[in-house]
Amino acid sequence: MENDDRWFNINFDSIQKSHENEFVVISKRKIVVHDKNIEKVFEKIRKVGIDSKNVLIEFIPERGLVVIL
Amino acid sequence: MRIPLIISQGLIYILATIRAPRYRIYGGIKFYIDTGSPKSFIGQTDGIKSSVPYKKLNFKEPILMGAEKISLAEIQDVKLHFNVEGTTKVMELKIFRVAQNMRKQVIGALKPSILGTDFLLENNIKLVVDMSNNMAYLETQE
Repeated sequence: MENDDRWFNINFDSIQKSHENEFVVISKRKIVVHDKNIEKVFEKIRKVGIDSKNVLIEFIPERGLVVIL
Repeated sequence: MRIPLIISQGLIYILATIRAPRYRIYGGIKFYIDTGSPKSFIGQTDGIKSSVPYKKLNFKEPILMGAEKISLAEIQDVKLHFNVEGTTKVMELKIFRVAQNMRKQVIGALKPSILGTDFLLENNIKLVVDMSNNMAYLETQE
């Protein structure tokens, strides 16, 4: 997950351009699943046959929106 | 021992693997360090990902996170594994918590996993943050 997280941070701007307001699932430095609906994300993960336990799942906020916890 | 934290987009977090064999919970989780939270917990997205058995847990501790009401359930005997410069540091926690959102949200939003001030206090951990030098770490007593 460390490598995927590093890849995500480096490529965040380009990911945000194409995946605003979506969840993205990153595995082996690639976006393997994306959807606006988290339940569909998990459905797609199952369909693709990826083990969800060690993938990175991130929500991509729209540009200009600052995320506060 | 120092456990390095990651700073990105102004947020501070750590990647950990959680194991709670009693509940068959296992998975990689991004925990945000949040000194504004008195409670630590696994967020719902990470919970589903890590096979948290939601139906078997007793969610009885309501909290307000921003405008969102969530409920917490306790889980026992949890181990958090941190990667520290190629070696694994294991932290054993007698009690940890899992969050469940009380309102079903179809459209996404961040449902983060949090390490709050209870985690720092109960485990006698110092949090050191130097934002101007892009450096943050947890310091344990070892």
